[in-house]
Amino acid sequence: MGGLLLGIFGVLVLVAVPIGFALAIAAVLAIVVADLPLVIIPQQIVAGMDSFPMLAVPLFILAGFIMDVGGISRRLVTLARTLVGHLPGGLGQVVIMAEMFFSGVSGSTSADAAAIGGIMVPQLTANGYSRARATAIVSAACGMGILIPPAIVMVVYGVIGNVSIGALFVASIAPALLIAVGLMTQIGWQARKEGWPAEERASFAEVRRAAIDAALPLFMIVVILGGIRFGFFTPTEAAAVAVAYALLLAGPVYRSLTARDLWSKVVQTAMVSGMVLFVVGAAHLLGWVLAVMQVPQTLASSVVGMGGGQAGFMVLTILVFLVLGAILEGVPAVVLLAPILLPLARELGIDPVHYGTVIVATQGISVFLPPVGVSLLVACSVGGVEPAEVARPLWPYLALMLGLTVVIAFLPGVVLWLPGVLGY
Amino acid sequence: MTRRLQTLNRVLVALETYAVGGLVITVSAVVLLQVLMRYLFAYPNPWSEEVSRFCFIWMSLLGASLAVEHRAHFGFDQVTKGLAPRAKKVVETFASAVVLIFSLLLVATGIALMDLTMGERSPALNLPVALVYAAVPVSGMLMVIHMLAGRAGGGGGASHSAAQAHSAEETG
Repeated sequence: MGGLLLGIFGVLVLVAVPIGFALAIAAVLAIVVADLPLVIIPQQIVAGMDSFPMLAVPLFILAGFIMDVGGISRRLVTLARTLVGHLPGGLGQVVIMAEMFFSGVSGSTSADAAAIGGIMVPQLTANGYSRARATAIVSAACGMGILIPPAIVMVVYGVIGNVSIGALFVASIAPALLIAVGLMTQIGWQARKEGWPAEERASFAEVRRAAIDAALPLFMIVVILGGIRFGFFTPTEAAAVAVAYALLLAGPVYRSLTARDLWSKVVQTAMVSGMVLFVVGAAHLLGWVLAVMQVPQTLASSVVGMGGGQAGFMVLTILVFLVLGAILEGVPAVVLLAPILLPLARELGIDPVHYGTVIVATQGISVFLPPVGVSLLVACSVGGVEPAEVARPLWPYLALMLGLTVVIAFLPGVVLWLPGVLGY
Repeated sequence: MTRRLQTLNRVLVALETYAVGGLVITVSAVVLLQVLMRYLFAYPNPWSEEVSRFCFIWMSLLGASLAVEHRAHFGFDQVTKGLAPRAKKVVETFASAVVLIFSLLLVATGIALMDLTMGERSPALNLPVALVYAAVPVSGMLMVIHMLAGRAGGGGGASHSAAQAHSAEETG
């Protein structure tokens, strides 16, 4: 029966029924067959949404939106440019560096692709990079950026799996740096081979000016991470503080936010949260039904029966999230699978923070996986190219990211040392 | 009939937009207030968590119905995109029917749940719990009207894929 339900869900998704509705309909069929009361439907959907920690989702989305319309992305790009523009493949390096800064103030991968791609693709193409190459570099950067806190996927994983969101935020910093350094090395190596230009080295005065211009936006991440770690506020409260901080910067400080822009971002925030939370609610409903039918237990025993232990389970996890993340998008894939897989991971002795970081790293690859990854489609529309053209330059970056994700999966220390040092 | 439906739909979309915007602002303000009260006045606010959670539920469900109007819900259209026009039309009609059926179910079961929980009150605010659950049938009804108005407008196919790209722009 569990297999049948997942089959129905799969067919509905393939014929373009929205994912939340496909989940809900599969659950409804099971409820009807099992002759359970139908009021379970609204009750479980609301129960799935009714969580104070989950409130961090709309608040972080809003903070990121305000940062973007407030002209803050441009300041961050300028700082990145003065720092790494002179390296081989200068502008390519700038993309990676700028995304590291920008995703520290934004929580959403596709928003990053739109913001960073919008600024960097024209500059890259003006300097001799092909559109496909430029889009590929932006895609790789944003795939890495998903690991930089705050990230919506981490909030959702933390809430669903009952894992410390603060620990998840801190744990993903080292893996993000690892992948960023990997990508910058790769771009530098390609630049030497292909003769991509480097920029002139910025003078110390220029670096200082850019750093001062970008200091206030970058300080936000310190406020968020520090505030959570030292118990000044919960992740949800940190997100509200981030909204207020972003408003102060974009409003009175930089005077670059109009009331009209702000209102449109507020409405957009509600709609995006509605999309995310509807999937969360529907998945909660289906999860409830599956639990009543004891599907997770059956699945657990069959996965454990496959053997392979921790290593096999990690490989399985990466494969499953690569495929489902490309089809379902990051958040829906986590909402659907985390409640089933996380108990198994715990049983196998895998640390839930480590496990979550591996999942998030994998998401960064899958949402850019050609030809269907959702964020890849965003990057392509920003870059003005077809996904098929981007695939060729993009594969080597994705391959490197996948390799490093496997490294992260098998070396828990890379993920867990920083939270350990900080006392999580 | 079609004209009237679309006029009604436009009015409802406008109201929905104001409502969700207002809710986002309320939620942000209440959570921020919770932090400020704790530090400035050493006063842990007893009602702020409940207010923000209830507003959040309404915001999420109304945001979900607004996303139906804009055809913005997460979906996978890479298979249907490649179909022949006729097959595509059939599949799209089926997908719309599924959304419509579930929206109607939300209305019916949501009202039943409100009925069932009429006597219950929330712990901090002493509000009827049914007021929170009311978001379900309201959102379901709005989804039904948005779907019917969208079909009547004949915008089905084209607006759908455009909206998919739109939805992808907004999320991550």
